[in-house]
Amino acid sequence: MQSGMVYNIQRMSIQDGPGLRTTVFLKGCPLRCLWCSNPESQSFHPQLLVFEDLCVGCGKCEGVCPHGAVTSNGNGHRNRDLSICQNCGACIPKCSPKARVLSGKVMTVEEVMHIVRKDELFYGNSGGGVTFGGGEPTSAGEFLIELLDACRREGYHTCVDTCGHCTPQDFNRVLGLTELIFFDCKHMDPEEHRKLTGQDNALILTNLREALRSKVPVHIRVPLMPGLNDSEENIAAMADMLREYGKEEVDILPSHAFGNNKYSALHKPVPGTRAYEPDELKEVLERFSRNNLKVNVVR
Amino acid sequence: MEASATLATASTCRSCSGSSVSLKGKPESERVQKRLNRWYDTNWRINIERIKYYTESFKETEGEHMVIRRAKAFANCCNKMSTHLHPEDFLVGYRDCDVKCAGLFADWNGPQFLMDIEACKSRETEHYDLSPEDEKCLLEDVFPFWRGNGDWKRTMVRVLFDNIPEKLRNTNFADASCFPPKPANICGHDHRRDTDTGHYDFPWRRYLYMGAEGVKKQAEEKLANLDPCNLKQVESIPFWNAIIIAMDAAINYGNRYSAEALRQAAKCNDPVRKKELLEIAEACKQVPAKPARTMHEALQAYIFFKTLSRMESADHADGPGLVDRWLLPFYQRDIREGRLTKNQAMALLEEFCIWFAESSHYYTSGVQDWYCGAGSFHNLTLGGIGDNGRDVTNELTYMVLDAYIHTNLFQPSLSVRVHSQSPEALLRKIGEVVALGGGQPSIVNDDSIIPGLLALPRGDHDPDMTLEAARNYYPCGCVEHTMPFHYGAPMHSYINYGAVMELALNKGVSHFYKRKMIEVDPGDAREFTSMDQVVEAVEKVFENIMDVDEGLVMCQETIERKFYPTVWQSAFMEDCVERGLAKEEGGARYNFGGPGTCVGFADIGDSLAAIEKVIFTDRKYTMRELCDALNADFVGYDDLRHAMCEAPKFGNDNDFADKWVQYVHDLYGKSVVERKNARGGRLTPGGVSMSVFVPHGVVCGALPSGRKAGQALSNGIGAALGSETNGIVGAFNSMGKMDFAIDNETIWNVRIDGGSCDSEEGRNLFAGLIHTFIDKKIAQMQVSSISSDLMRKAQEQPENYRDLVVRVVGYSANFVELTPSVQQLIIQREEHPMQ
Repeated sequence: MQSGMVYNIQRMSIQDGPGLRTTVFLKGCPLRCLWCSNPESQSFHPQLLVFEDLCVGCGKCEGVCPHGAVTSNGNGHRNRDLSICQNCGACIPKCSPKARVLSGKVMTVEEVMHIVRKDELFYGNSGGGVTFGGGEPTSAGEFLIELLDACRREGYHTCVDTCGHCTPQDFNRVLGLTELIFFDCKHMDPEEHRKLTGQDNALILTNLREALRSKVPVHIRVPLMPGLNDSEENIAAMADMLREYGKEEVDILPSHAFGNNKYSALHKPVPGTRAYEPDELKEVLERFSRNNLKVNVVR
Repeated sequence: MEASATLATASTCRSCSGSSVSLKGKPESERVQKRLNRWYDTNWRINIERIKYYTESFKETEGEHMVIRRAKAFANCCNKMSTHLHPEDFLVGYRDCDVKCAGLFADWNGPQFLMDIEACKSRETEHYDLSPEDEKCLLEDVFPFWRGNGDWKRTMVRVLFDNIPEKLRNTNFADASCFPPKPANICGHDHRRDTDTGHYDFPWRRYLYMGAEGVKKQAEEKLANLDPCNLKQVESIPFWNAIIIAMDAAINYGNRYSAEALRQAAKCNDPVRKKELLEIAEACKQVPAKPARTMHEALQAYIFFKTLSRMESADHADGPGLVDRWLLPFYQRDIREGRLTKNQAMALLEEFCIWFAESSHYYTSGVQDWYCGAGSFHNLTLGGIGDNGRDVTNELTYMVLDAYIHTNLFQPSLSVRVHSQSPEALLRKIGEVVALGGGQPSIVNDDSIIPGLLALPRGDHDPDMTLEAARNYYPCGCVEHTMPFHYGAPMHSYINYGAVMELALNKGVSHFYKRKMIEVDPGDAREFTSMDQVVEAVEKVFENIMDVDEGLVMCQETIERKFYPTVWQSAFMEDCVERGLAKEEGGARYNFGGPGTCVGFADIGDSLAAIEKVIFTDRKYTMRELCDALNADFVGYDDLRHAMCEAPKFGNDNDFADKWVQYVHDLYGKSVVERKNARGGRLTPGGVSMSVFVPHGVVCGALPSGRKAGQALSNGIGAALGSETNGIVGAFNSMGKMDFAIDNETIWNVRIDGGSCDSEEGRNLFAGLIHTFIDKKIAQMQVSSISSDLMRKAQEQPENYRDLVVRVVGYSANFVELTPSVQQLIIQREEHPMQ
């Protein structure tokens, strides 16, 4: 049986597909989007997050760290030395205010399904099911394939929420197993795409076209960032491509700042992306309607 | 890529923008709108008319048979109380004589009210105006009679106090030496010191189809055909005579309203109002004397049933029950015969809803914490499985829901019965009521409750329960299920389950009261070496408290049958007139019901789980250390407390913790049904904490779950405060493991984000949630969807949030009128993000 790295299983999700859903977040992503709101989802390995503002300065973490990685700053709050910390998580049970959290756990397909099964009544009664998100779920390879297969055998509706960056072969296998695709569309220009995410969009566009040609329903999701991918030009290019496949509707996920505290907790610089002013967002949304794209804003 | 969920999801929630106001809609007619506005513009007042005329009669009847005295006092009220009829009224008669009033029951709780006579005007929440003339009348005419020579011997509270055997008194009363008694919070029966037990069936079958004249005739026939050699019949003579006195008085009461309406009509220049007044006059001549003929008369008859019931007792927690069943034939006939338009029917229903909010019960300061919100618990029930096993949902069901949405006051309480074949449209409609944010309706599950009722053990004389009767059950008060031909489901006692845990680990001694509270010795917990010993101690303490509880129920019901028999209420309850017994004397056909509830299921369950995990599985600490920590309220034991807090908790779909809550739930349910009440029926269990979880928490010491001394206990059968961390699915799955066939009179509060039900899409998802609730055979849930932001705003600017209604426990109340501590707890109650 396959196993893989899971960083969260969110039950009762209502924004990740139809009905009430359980969303399984798989850890690790080939992209490095500037605005990523789940920075702990990027690495393929477990990571310790330290939320310093929750630390009460009891110092119990120092006593248990096998590597001596715990550091203390001026106000008594404890943190850790990234170069020494092995992300083993030994300090976590000692931390009563829950300032220390380990993100990422290796789970088998059966372990994931055990949790998924608990809510099957909710799926059936609401037209819901299971969504696989990330990170990038297709990066999990066989683990995702087996999970999708298990869900299909047990009769759960599935949805894969993907950035589309994977080999066409891998993508086609996922396409053959899932019942719904949420496909991120970030930028149509290869060079801009590379600037924003670290990768060009060649594979992504190939897979997107493949998905749109297939029988699987596809939801296009656009993470919208002020000044980065909301130009008239980019939106027009997106609309042109989608129109080829008769697609006239996109989900918009406007920029937000909920993930910022996790950057600090990972010792990473907080991204410079900002949230939209209401009027500004209204104006940007009009660009979509000018290009005959219906928008559904997801918050 | 973007993921909508983050590690921080559990703490993020959308704030409610007060959209509930726009969803409410408006009443049908201008007159009804005025009646609604009047509610907001009127202060609560004490009305003394009922006690004035009741007392006047009691002074004159000393020495007569109690049932005759009660009937004469009732008659004096019927004949003399004011017949207020205001320009906004079409349905007439107020439960407490006039708009927004609370009546007084000095015959029951005289001493407590006299102590409160200043407080009632000035206390911070739930204060009432009392005019100087009325106060003078109370002090000079009313209270001296009940006070007597200072011993209050004529009041029920004194009679109850004097007749409780010494051995029971020790556990029941916090301070047995003081009178009037202070609230008791280990095994508490104190609410009976402010009201009667209430929770009886609305016997519409006899009332709406026989009327008072029909019942009077029945009593006359019983007397005419009396067998003078049959002692039982001879003993019933006073009761049948009392029935005749009461029926005549009730008929006169209707006639007095009729006369008042005619008087006003004669002077009225507005043709519309004149027509209304003539219709009122006609209806009040018909009911309560004769059977109701139209929807208007049926609703008017119900209102008179309530105003008359309130004259003879506090009419505590008695509701109209299955309105969309008993009202339907009248509505259909009116529509068919062209007597009524749908708009007129809607206006009637709206006015009906407003009427319930126009009276409240004055809870004296000693028990105010127990019943925060001053509701009278009129529970209006809709939907569900009918006689023939099919769903009964009909046009009227939706109309009543709309009427409730348009008026949306703190009363009536609304219950909707659901089951696996409820129409999808009804489930979605429930979402519209949830979107109002008031915590209504209470959603009750036929698929769990009907089998539970059928499985209840029979009493000594009760016949077998029929499927038909069970299918016509309805929650009375909060969730005390009542059926046709059934006395009802009186609430007697609140057993402090948290304290059971405390006493089991502390040799029966309460940390708060600093004395031994029980007769048995549970052993020295410091020496316990296994989970079995802990469980044994818990069971020993629990059974001892249940013995006391059963004794108290017996003793109180016995006293009530002798000193407080009802005449008007018994007249219509099936079999009472036939048998010649008041309902308190066991006159009804079915007599199961009582005692009440445990408070703190999750606290004791979580405590047992924590002991098993930390002490006996992980062996991190010893029983000795735990007992020391509990004695010290965890001061100096931070690490131990942390370990206990980290142990699995109920409400998170964790089998380890859930099995212990199931255990204590079953322990209670199985123990209760083996016990009897004084009417020959069995007791039934419940899980309704009212707001008692606050005062019960105050007296409960530190618990192994990590809860500190004095903190509130869990409410209803829900998880302990703040311990649900796995969201709503975890809570559902934990709750779904409980056996609700054993105990289905339970309250479960579920909080969802404000705004979750504002859109049609959200309501569709919510309907899916109800389906899951049905499938999991959970007995009851009630869903609040108000954001804590909004409630904090209401705390800051109470004047702007007079209409903010929140669910407290088994009932809703105006948020700004609750005590600050209860407000705070409602805010803390777990928020379940639905996104």
